[in-house]
Formats: sequence, structure tokens, C-alpha cells
Amino acid sequence: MPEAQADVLTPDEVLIGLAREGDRGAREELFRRHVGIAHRVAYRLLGHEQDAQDAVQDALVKALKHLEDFDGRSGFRTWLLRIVTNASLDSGRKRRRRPTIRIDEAETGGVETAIQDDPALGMHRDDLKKVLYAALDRLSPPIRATFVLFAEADMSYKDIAALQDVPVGTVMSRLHYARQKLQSYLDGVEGIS
Amino acid sequence: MRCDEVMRELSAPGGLDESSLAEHLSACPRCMAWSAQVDKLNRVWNATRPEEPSSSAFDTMWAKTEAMVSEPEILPFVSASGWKRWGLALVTVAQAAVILIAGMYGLSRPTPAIASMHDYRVEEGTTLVVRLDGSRGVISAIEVRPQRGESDTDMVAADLDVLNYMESGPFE
Repeated sequence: MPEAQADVLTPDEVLIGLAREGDRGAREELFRRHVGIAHRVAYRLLGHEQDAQDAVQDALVKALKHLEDFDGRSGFRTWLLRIVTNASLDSGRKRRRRPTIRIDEAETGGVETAIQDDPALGMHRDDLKKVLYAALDRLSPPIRATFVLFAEADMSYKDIAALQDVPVGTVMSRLHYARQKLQSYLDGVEGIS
Repeated sequence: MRCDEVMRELSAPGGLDESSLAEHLSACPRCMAWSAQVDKLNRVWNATRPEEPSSSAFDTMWAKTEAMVSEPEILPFVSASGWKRWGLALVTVAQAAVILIAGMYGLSRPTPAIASMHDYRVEEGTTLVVRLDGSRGVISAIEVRPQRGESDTDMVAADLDVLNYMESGPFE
């Protein structure tokens, strides 16, 4: 069989063992296997491409440098996403002074909405992004992270609970709360059908 | 099946019976509207999926990551002897003096007058969250919903309102 398939079958735990012994190839495989989801989570938390890439890189450096701290109680992906989430939220706190788009600006920013990427939604994709990230920006970091980990990373309630050190019930309550807030923001924006 | 159970199920599925859910939705305009809002948020979420960086961007990121992971840890090491040691001691003493003077100045400054004062009328039994700025006064206050007599679900939402308020910014 081709080598690529053999790589796919190598469990993370085996790669971690090799990487701890200094195997560069194992480190690279762990990086490539998880960098995509790490990027998506960071982007959803920060709403900014360069900030997301910086946060992902910080997180991966920390994770790969401190693999001995991975105790195997959760999966490697969960452990890594905890580091990515913390790095992203730290980055978000640092850049909080940077002007952000508020939802009212996103609505009335004079953006032409005639070109629609998704006619069912009635708005251009870039405009939808502005509205969505303005809405996400109004959630507190732990609640935003709960929603992003569930909706973007498809994590189970149990894994999110382990990642955030909260009970499963709190995860579910946070998800409901986040939806209430996000949906009410979206409802207040004209143009989304 | 209660409306709040249905709404929570639509937000965070927990295994409620699907046929009971469908039956409730068909008979309840409020929950049907909530269901439509859930669908709308899902569609917006899916329409704004982050684009994956190019493979060359990931290659660059990997090269930087690997360089940082491979570089040996540099431990702080101070080697000083003779006049250098005296120089370090002098710098330390000077820093301590500056901190001491700054502290004394801070203690001797008069407390700034409160810029404005407001009366808060709060109904007995309501919960008020007040943000204080040291000893100078109230920065802001919010009344936490719900009012008395609401369900447990609403009480959880009230707790989350407080969490969201305390941890999100900028402060108003």
C-alpha cells in the first residue's frame, strides 16, 4: 500500500512517542494533521486571518515543545485545541484596543449587497462575516470558545467540558445562551433573510 | 414537553425524542420561530466557513514552527564579578528607590473627586451586578434578569448574563 495511507493509520499517540524522542517527521505529521482544525478554531475566535495564523503558530510551538505535558487523558486534538483556544483568547485580549467592527457599522457600512454569494441569505459573504464576527465579539471569551468548539470543531460536549474544565451541563447552557445572543444579533440586522 | 426544553434541545441537542419534538414544533409558533432562527444562524455559520490557508502558507508556518521547536532553550545566566557586580547592585538599589518614591507619591495624592453621582432605584428581590473601580466608585451596573418566579433555565441564563457581562469588553 502507498506510504500516505500508512501515515494516516498511525495513531497520534505513536507519533507523540516518536516526537518526544526527537523524530522530526513525527512532529511534522502531527503538525500537518491538526493545523487545519487549529486554524479554523483560531479564525472563528479572532475573526482575523493573520492573528489566527500567529495564534496557531504560537500554540503549535508550545504544544510540540512541551509534548511531555500531554498526559493522554484526552485526545491529542483536544489537548492541542485547548492550547489554541488559550493562545487565541490571549491574542484577542491583547488586540482588544484595536478598532473592531460593530454590528451597526456592519449593517450600514455602505456595503453593496447586490452581489450575493448565497441568495438564500440575501447578503454578500464578506458582509455576513462582518455581521457574524461583530456578534461573536459580544460574547465573553469562554462562551464564544464553547460555541466555536462545538460548531466549528464538532467537539462533543464531554470533550469541550474537559477542555474548559466545566461540567457538561455548563457546556450545554453556554451553547444555548450563545445561540440566543447570536440569533438575536442576526435578527437585528437587515438584509439577512 | 415545555417550550424551554424544546429550545434548549434545538440549541444543544441532548437526545429528546424527535417525534415529540416535531409534534411540539408543529403546534407551537414560538418554538417554530426559534427553530427558524437556529437554521438561519447555521446557514450564516456555514456560509462563512474560514478558508484554509494555501499549502505554501502551511509550509512556511511549519518551517517557522520547526525552527522554534528545535532551537535549544536559552536559560538566563548572569555572570558578574568585581565592578560589574557592584554596578548591578547599584541599578537594583536605584530601581527600588524609584518604586518607593512612586509609592509614597501615590499614597500622598488626594483621592480624586467623584465625577458624577447617580441614584439607583432597585426593586427588592432583584439582583444587581455592580462594577467598582477600586475605591473611587461605581463604573457601571446592570440588573440581572430574570425577575423572580422564572424557571431554572432562566436562572442559568441569568448566571451566564453575569459571566458574559464581566468577561466581555470594552466596559461601558
